[in-house]
Amino acid sequence: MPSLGPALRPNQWVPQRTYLSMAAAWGGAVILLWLFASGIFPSPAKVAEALRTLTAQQGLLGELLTSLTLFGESLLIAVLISFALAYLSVVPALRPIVTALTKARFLSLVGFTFVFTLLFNGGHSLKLALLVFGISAFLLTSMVDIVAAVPTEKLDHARTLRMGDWRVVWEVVVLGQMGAAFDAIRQNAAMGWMMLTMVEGLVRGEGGIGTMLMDQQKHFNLAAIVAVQGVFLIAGFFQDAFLAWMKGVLVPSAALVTARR
Amino acid sequence: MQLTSTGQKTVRILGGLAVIAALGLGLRYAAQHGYGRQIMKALVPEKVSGLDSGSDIGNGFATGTGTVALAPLPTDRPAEMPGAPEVRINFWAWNSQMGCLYSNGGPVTTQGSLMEKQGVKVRIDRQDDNTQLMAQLTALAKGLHDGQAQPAAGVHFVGIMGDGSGAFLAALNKQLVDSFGEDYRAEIIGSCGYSRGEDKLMGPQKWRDNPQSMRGAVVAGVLRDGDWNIAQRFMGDNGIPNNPDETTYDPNAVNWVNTSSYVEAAEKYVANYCEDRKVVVDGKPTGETKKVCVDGIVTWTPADVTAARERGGIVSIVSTKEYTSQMPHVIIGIHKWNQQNRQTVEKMLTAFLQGGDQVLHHQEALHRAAEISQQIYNEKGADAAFWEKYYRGVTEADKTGIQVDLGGSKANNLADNLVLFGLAPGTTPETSRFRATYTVFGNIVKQQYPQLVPSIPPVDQIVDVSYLQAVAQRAGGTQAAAAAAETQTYNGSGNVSRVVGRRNVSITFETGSANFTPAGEQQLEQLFNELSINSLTVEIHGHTDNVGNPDANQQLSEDRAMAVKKWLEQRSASTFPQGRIRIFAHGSTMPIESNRTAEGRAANRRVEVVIGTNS
Repeated sequence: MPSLGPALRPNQWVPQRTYLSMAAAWGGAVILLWLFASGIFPSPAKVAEALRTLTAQQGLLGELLTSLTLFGESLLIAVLISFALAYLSVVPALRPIVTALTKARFLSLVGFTFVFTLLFNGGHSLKLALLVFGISAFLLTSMVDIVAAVPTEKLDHARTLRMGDWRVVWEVVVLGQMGAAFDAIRQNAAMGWMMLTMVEGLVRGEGGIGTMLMDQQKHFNLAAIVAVQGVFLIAGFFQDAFLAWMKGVLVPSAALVTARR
Repeated sequence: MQLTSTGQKTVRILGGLAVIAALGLGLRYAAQHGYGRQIMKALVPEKVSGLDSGSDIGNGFATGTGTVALAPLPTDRPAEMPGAPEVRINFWAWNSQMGCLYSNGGPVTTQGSLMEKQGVKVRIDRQDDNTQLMAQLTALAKGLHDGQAQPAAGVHFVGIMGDGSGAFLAALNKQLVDSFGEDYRAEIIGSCGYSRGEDKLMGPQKWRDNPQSMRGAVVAGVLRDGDWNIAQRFMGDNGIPNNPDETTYDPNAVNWVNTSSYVEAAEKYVANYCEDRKVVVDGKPTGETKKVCVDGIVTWTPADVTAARERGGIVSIVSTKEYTSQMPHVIIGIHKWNQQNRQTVEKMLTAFLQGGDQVLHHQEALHRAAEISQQIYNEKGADAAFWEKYYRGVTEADKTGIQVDLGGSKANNLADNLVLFGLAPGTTPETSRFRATYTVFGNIVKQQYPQLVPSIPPVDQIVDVSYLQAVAQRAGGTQAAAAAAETQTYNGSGNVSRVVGRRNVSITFETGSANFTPAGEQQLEQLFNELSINSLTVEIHGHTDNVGNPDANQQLSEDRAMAVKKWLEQRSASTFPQGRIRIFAHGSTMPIESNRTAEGRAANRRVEVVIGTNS
């Protein structure tokens, strides 16, 4: 049995086995708390039954696929837009407009939904536009910060290697910060899930897991709500893991400077 | 003077703080002196010209015969009621509760209010979200279950529409009973008022002229909600199919764009919202996809006003002005708390219903109630005059110049409550209008969405009329209390002037006679409930097939129509008073199918029911 000492002190390395034991202990505590909790929160058995009903009778998996497709589409467009704008912020003439666009993250979508409905005459395009707008505002801010955080000496070093201005941008800002860029996508994609329910509530014609959640909420089916939220968590977990894996494959060097893995 | 680097930073920070403080103080000063409002007034016109010159349309009801003296108006100063426990209430922004709001004098009980006289301290807050209403009641039930006599969390009462109470209580009580036990269920104890026009189906004029033209329409609104119910009833009264699947389009049925709120429904119409739908016929996919746009909406005030002002082109097809009993405002609390605080509940109800009487009979009280509404709802752009005007109901020209009926509500007094719940003389709880609305709309949502609402609780489990009965006893008994209930009169002759619904109903008779079969009795029960939702004039048209003597068929059709009329009137003389039902006999003269086949002849042996307004 490995010693627990390092696990209780800050910034210590612990073997994988110890870490997994800790995770299992926490998981067990949560399940026990859930099993023995009384009151309005639905029991694991009820949630499992609701999950079975949602899957067998109400097409939960199909709805999940609808949402994942929409979300993947939105994330891809948001990444393209945000990355392009963030990298363009290296040009002083464009920086004010890019900086101004990052402030869009302070806007509420309430009221904008009406404007977007007028602009995008179609359910799917409306959902897509709102989700892209929501994700891009945050992703752009993260990316602009990442670009701005490139140390001067790295730029100077590239220049001493006789690289042209745009080559410096490509090597140092784009490739050099790719690890940080993946982290930004991971964080902001997670925030996008919160917006998914809102846009799927606005356009329900195509269905989706967000629509399903809102229907269950309207009728106060708590077990079904917890079941759908559980599916959200699992989907988010896999998304996160996928992006982490992508980062590991495409930017293996990023792991070298990390204290915890 | 040269400052050090630290000194410069300090000066910058202090300077920044000073600017923020100055901005804050400036905004506060502007708010206190109304400058913000003045600036907004200059920039944004408050009203669209021509819209506010409408005339009152009233609700077609006598508001009782009793004389009610005007009580002193409540002040706006909070009442000092040391030691009195606070009763917390959540209400939607809804004009039907004018009387209840008036009784309290403001968000918290005020000096001189009817509630203060009853010694009950009430706090009323706006809450427009049903899930929140459920959560608040659940929090109170949990506090009680945890042993708190007066829980600090949650609210004691909420108000929702009676037609939606089946789905609401089905969901809520399942959680409450499963978690805390039967005693903690939510129950209805009374009613503040009625929606009488403001909740409506809005669409093109042609739907009103010919309801069958609504087939293939796309309507936006909150599904399985009160306004959606109006459309469902209208469709049922005209035999128009409903497509419950919000992801497909059926050209033979009415299709739905589900919105999160009644306001969003209006926004979707104003923005001319469209989406692509898979086409189905009778639920089966055709393989086609069609772009469909919102043709109409189900909504209520103030969103009906928004739709009229911002785009227009749609009129009130049918509303709670026609379906008069559909949408009583019902007050819901937790059974256990109600029982443990019986006196408080009865006193609160007394004040509420006295408030209803004041609003019904006195302009000053209505005006004050509208001011309280403004205070509690805090709806942007809606002042006291707005709430008062749309409580009364008006006809206004919309953006395109079409005259549109907007708004319309009615406060309830004790007598109205006794009639609604079947406690007044001549009424019974088993045939009450509340039971009918609860049953009809509970069944609609259950049948259309069995997975979301598999069942609704029996009505006897969710209504406790003992509080109303106690209030009535103190008022001199139900006979005395019911004297001032609203009544509707019927002129008893001629055809209806505007048809709201026309359909063939299936009522089976024994062959060659006007006696009902056992199945026919059940069909009549359903017809009784459906007709109890409205107060419209009812025409019953009897028809036969062409077998036998034409004169005998004529007599038989008359006998059958008369049998239906008598059955309904005997079931409830209060719901079907003299003159409401008229009968017409057509014999075999108006077949709808060929008499050459057995199926055709069966279809021709029918009763047609027409409902409409009676001028």
